[in-house]
Amino acid sequence: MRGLLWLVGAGAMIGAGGLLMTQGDAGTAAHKQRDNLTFPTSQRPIDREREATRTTLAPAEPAEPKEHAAPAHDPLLVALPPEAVTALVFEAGTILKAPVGQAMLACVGKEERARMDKGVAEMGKTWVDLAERVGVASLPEKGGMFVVQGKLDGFDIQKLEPHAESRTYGADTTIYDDVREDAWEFHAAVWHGSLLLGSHLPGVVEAAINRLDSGGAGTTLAFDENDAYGEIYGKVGQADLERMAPEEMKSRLHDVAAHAEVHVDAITEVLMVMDVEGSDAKQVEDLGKSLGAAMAVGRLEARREGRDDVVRLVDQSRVRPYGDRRLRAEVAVPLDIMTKSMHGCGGEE
Amino acid sequence: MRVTLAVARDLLREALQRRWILALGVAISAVVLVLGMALRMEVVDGALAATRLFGHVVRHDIRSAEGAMNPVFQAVAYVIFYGGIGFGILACSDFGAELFSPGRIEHLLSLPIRRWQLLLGTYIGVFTLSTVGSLYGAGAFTILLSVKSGVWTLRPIVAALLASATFSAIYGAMLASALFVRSAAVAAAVGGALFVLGIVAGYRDDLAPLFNAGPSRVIFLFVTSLLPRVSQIANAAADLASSHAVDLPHLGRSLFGLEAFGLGCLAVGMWQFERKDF
Repeated sequence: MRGLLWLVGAGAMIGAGGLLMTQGDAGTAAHKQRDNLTFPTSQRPIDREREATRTTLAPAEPAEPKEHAAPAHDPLLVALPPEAVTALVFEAGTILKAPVGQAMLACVGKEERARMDKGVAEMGKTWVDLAERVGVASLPEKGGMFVVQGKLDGFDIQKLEPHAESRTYGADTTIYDDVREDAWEFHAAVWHGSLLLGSHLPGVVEAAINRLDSGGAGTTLAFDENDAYGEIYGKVGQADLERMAPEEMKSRLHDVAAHAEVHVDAITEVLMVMDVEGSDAKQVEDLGKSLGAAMAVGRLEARREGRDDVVRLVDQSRVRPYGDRRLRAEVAVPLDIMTKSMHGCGGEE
Repeated sequence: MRVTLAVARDLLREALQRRWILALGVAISAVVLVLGMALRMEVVDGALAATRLFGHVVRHDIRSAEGAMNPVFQAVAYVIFYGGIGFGILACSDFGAELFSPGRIEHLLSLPIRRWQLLLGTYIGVFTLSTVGSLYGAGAFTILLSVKSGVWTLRPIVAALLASATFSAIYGAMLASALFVRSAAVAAAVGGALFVLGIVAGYRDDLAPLFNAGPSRVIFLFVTSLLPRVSQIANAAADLASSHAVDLPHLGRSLFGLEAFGLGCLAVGMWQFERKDF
């Protein structure tokens, strides 16, 4: 009888244990949620899909063919000035649908949205609907250019710039010039209903149209077409790099970095890969250590504030010496850092 | 209780005389000593800038030291968990067989010790042994890595305690098996089988869809529901060691279930013990 009690007790214990362990199985969800962030260090499937569906330029025979120049196919990259010190392309269509884009749009008030959509509202559209990609470039002569790629058929620049004068340029492009007495000027054009080009500098829009009309053949690009991956990509010059950097890093970046190549994956989280190139290997390595220390401080602050989401992102961020005088920073950026400087989300800009 | 603890103490005394156990202690000490001399970690303002082993750079990523150490602590937790349980199964497999060996068991039963005290004392002794072993291994590695990296944490030690708790459940079944077949090999086989099945049971929800819906899947789910979730607790231990989120309430249930399984197995052993004449 006593032996039987042990057996009944054993059955009860093993059964109860099984029940408890089955209840505990739900805890595996926490383990499965752990993810390793994949930083954009090369073309991803989504980049290839986008590239396959995109309209490319048909190269025309250039007047003076340049030797060893690969034919360029991407109209937006062809439109960006080759001499640009900073040239960045934003996959606006993807970014604005992603969490970061939604968070940023949430920071923009109704009136501000209406002001932004001036010129396209008459088409019953918003820039969010129209803009597929946006390219920005800054030139050595302290000015810049922007290019918006999208379905721009029917877009009237004069609704945006009522004082602009129009003139025909190239095969079938109209350039709008708005030149004011105080030396302020703005030039814009819509090329083939797909690219809106704009610049405050004279001659920049014309040069872009020349490159586009030649089909990109023999054109030197602001950066290599093979580097066109991510939701944001391109190169950043020293001055812009310094301006974008946190206050404590500005002077060191100015001393060390000549330029940087940037790729950002913004589909779910904001994952930035920045290849910084400098002239002195030791200084570049020291810059890497400073960036690492900044990450450690950021992690400490996030931990103190109990922000486990930020800690998780910082834990996967790293700086890696990469070739001679180069380093690669892989940084996961919290969404609120992207929006906190925006006026509608408490910032001042 | 004093009698039970006296049995446990005797077992520990016996364990310390074994070459296997001593070899483990020496091996852990030697690895820690060699790593202590060969491992160099360059920490700059809280960031791990470079790691050198025997003078060679093994890692050149610059990242926050705590973030960089998390995967290391995670790996240490997995090694201690799986390595510790595997070693424990081999090293402790003959405790039961020797306890019930002819001559010795008759002598023990002639003393004022009840049978359940003998069994529970042996179980507690092995649990203490595995806990001390885990704490020594995890503690030594944690202190070494913490000194080198400047990242101080007790989490890998807590993770090691989970390994010890898991092993104790497996050992409950091993000890019970010794009462049916007095063989160290059989006890080791039972422990090994539970170890492997426990790894499978930890992934039962992922594996169940591989079975056709119907009796085969129901049988798989039923059988695995009773087994210790070895891999599940190993993952939780590694997550804990590497400062990742762990669902503590569910982990608590798993651990209580695990100990209930171990004690249940021990009760099966007790049932057999009561039936036996020595």
